[in-house]
Amino acid sequence: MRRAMLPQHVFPPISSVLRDRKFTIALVGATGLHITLVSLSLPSWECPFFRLTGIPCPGCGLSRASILLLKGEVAESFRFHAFAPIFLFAMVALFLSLLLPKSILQPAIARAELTERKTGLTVLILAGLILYWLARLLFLQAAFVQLIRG
Amino acid sequence: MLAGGLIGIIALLVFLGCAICYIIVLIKLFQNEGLVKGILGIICGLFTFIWGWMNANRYGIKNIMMIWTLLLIIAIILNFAFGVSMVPGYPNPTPVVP
Repeated sequence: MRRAMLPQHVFPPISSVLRDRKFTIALVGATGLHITLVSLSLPSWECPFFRLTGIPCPGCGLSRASILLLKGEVAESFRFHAFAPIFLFAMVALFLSLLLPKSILQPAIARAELTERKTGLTVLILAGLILYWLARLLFLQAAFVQLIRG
Repeated sequence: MLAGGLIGIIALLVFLGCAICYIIVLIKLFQNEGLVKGILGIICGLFTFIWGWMNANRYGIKNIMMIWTLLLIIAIILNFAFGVSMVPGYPNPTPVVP
């Protein structure tokens, strides 16, 4: 039998969020509101990590990159954050999960959990995000901070 | 000038309050949900905020969440009305969004 990438005591993030319907509604709603406010250049959620340290966090630039991607400006979107397509896909998947009936959703969540445990997909994406962030900080720090600060 | 300075001090205090609340909730997130969701909480502060509210009663952080929410509302009002950043040294800031 193939060994699972995620041990039993580790919560697979995506499936555990999907299981909590209220949390999914709050997350999708807040993210949607945030992206709308940012696209209208209105004050919205500000990154506490950047505010605290002066260093952009691994997720800084994702909202603007997602908005640019939705507008079809792919190159500009990648300049802000290369993980915008994955982020958008995750948000769309979470939104669609709210529309699905329980009879379809429950097996889908079980399958997602199994996939997350077997492949460690979410952990790999998060690790990739951290590496991407470290690379930007190490090799392009000034440009990165300037880009995020606006 | 004096009013501007006062607003700057208020913004700094709001920033410190927000930062303390964020760190407290982030520690709770790491303790109760593990490393993976903890890292997710660093990457996405909004995730930490929502998780905090969803689990406020369970982990006894309702007061922290209420303070954090109040401070965030004040920060947004300050930003909207006066264009004041919570970070000192950025006189004409653009809000730093994730």
